[in-house]
Amino acid sequence: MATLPTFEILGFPVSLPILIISLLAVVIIPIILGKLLTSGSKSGPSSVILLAGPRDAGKTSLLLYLQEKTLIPTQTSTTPATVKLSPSALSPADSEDDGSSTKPFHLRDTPGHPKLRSTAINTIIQPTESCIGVIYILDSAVLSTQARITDTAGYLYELLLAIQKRYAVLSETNTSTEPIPLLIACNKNDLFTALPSTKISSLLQTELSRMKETKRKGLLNAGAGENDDEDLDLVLGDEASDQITWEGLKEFGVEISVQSGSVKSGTVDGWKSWMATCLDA
Amino acid sequence: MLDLFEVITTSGVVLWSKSYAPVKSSVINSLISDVFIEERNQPGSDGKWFKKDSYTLKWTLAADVGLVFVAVYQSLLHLTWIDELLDQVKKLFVALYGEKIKASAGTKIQCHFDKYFEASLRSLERKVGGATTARPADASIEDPNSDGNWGGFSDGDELSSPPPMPGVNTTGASDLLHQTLETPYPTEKSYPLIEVTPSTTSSPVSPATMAQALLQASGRRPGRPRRNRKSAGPSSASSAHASSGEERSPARLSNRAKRGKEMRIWGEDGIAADAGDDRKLDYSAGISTDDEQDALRPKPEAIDQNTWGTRTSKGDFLLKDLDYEIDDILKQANKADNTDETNKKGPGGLASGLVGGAMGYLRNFVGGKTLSREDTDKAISGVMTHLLEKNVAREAAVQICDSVQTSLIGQKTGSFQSIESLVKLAMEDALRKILTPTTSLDLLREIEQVREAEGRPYVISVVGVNGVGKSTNLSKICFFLLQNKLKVLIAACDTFRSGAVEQLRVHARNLKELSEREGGVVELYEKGYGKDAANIAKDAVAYAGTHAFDVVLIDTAGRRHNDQRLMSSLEKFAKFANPDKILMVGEALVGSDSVQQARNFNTAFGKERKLDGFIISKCDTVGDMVGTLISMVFATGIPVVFLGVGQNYTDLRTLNVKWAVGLLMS
Repeated sequence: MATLPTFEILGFPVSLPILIISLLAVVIIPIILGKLLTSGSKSGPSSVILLAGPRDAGKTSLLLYLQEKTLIPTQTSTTPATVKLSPSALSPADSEDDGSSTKPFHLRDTPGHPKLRSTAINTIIQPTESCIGVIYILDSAVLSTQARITDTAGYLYELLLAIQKRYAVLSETNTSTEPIPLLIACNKNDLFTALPSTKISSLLQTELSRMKETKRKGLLNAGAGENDDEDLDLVLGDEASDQITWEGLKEFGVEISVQSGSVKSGTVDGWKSWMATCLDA
Repeated sequence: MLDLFEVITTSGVVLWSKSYAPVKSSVINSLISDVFIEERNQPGSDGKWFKKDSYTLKWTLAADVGLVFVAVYQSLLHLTWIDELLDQVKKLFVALYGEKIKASAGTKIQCHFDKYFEASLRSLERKVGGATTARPADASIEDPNSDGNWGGFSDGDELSSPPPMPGVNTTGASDLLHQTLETPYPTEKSYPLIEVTPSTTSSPVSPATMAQALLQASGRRPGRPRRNRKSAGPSSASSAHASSGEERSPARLSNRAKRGKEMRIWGEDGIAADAGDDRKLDYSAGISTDDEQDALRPKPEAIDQNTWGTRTSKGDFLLKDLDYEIDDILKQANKADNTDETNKKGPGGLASGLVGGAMGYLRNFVGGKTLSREDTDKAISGVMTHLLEKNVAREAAVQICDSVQTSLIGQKTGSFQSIESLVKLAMEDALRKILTPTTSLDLLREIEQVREAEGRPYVISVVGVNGVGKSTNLSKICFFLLQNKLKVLIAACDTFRSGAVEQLRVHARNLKELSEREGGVVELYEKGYGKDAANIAKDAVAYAGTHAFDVVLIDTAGRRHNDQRLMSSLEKFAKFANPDKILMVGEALVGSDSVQQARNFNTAFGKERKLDGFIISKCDTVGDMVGTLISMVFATGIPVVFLGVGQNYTDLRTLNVKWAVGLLMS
């Protein structure tokens, strides 16, 4: 048996296998460490409830109201903010926490300006984020004009599409994917011009259906068909019909409920209990 | 007079605000969405100010802690010290609460900033007042400078008789500070001071005209000055608190005392105005919360001990402490700035410099490096070259890169993230933000809506430079509408170029043949050559209304964007035809001219009308060099509605932002 060649490094005899192993270790360990570190930093908070909606609807106000229990003035947001809350923040103001779940959750506020809506969309699409619920806040007092309805429904359409995509991706790998609950929170119902939630619900469903119809009839996107990006020709809900209903969207991974409330007058108990059921699920 | 001062986080929380007059929150909201999000500076402002309603807004950013400091005041007023105030308040606020803000991740923190703000406001006002009384010559030199700074300040006619009266302007400014505008009383008193100043060229300023000028500037309750003056009497007794500044230090310099007199008058009237009671309350609040504040405030120990004994005594001592404290914080902040700079330029010791350099070098690879302007310079210039290669106009590229660079300063690189990749990501974000439309571009939906709600035809017109493809793109849109079973009228309003009408007639005939089976109806409305285009357009819209057309497409003559004679007829056209959408066709081939084209066409329709969208034609001829998209949208903030991607009627596409950004960054 041939003796393995040995080297002398700094006066110590070192055999070839040991040399190779140590060299490999030198190369590999930093890579593994780096991988571990980056993957650790990338995975988002454990359970996130996302706040989305058009601007001036009251997203940041709701966040601050839940955190501080008082009304705090806000301006248009340009960056998202994530706040860690304990479930006791959701229990009604006078009653004690029943301690059903004590795990803290995160509430993420996103900017509502049309140019910054990708923040919310990305939070949903990224599979590393465990998004346990979405609150779509809208201003129920301005929905009397068609332009605002279009804007409100347009953002909702994008969000629902993102949720649908996420659901499709997740259900490919995971057999039992629960649909994401989405609350359409009709804020500012203390105002005189506010519409009731049932009216808003039907308005939005009609508008979404129309949007789906015109999107189907509309022109192709630039770049469609060039690369196999199947995002482009994905339609919201059932491909067979243009009609969009909350019930119909359930099989596409989203469970929608609509509730009125007002941050300003403090009537957010319905939204709180909705969040509490999100956490328990 | 300052109307409102706010400290806002980028996540939208108002951390602290001081309001002297009710200002609608939409004023600041529009600053945020126009300037910060859409990055559209108002013409002439150079990103230094923003005007909304009757207000002027100035701001400063603290990017590392994510704060915005905004000052709001009446546009008519000429407040030269706002920049200084913003800067000072920023330093103070960041020094006091910076750590807390970083820890709170952009949500609410508790801050008792009122007294600091009041103190720095007072000290600034003292400075400005001192400049006028002690060295009027200086002040008169300063004023034209600041005039240049505030380029757009032209509406304050009453005050800006050339050359600017330093005494009037600046004393006016400090007056305004205390909200004494309604009453002529202070100006009567301070009148001798103005007369003293030797450089006052227009010295015969009667108190009455002064008061009137100030009244007009204030724009508030001009009818009731007399009543306010009366009310000034009794409340002046209660203002001993505010004027305690002089009482506390009788041993000060004589010119200080002289200014003290002038100060007291104004302070008194500040009370006389609406903010009086609040101000007093503020002082008491300041005293009561002072102890808890001490625990939170990062403050050098030496000063603390010096002032400890006097802290519990009356308010005048407290004021003194506060001034010292503020000075101290500002000094420290300045020192920190300076040491930062010297560190960058020349390291103190060789060894520490080497270690620092090595760490910095390592951080380039490992990440966790805090970026400065110098760090990003190289990467930014790389990205800029890349953009220029993609046919982005130089003007747009420079501005985009600037804003990206500013947004990056103070940020930390992620682990194993190079500066280049960070810059690239930020640039992708910026481009996506530019291209993302702020309104819905669903044309079919809008047509349907107009038809249902108003029962009139939807009018679209195309404009553009010669030969960019107006008629071709119009036909493409027409084909698309016909596919959706709409009834379309094409109006030939190019009454200038030979063959333009015939060309449209051919298109109309082809489209008719193509769409017969689909169920669409197309008709050409023509009146030959030489007639006024605006009138033809108007007639065409009326004709379409009576004949139940769904859509009118108006073709216009091509015109060079810098030919005033041709461009001026567009205003009349927009008024007569009143199109729902005016789309400008721009070639993807055009280079640096794109910015100017877009701007000129955008302003050609008069004050009320703007372009509604762009059609970028000939996109198939440029490959991935689609920079024109960015240039045009960036210059105007108007979205791209369609892209022309070929020669056929079917080669019309909507913009896909992801696709465009991908091409630009590839």
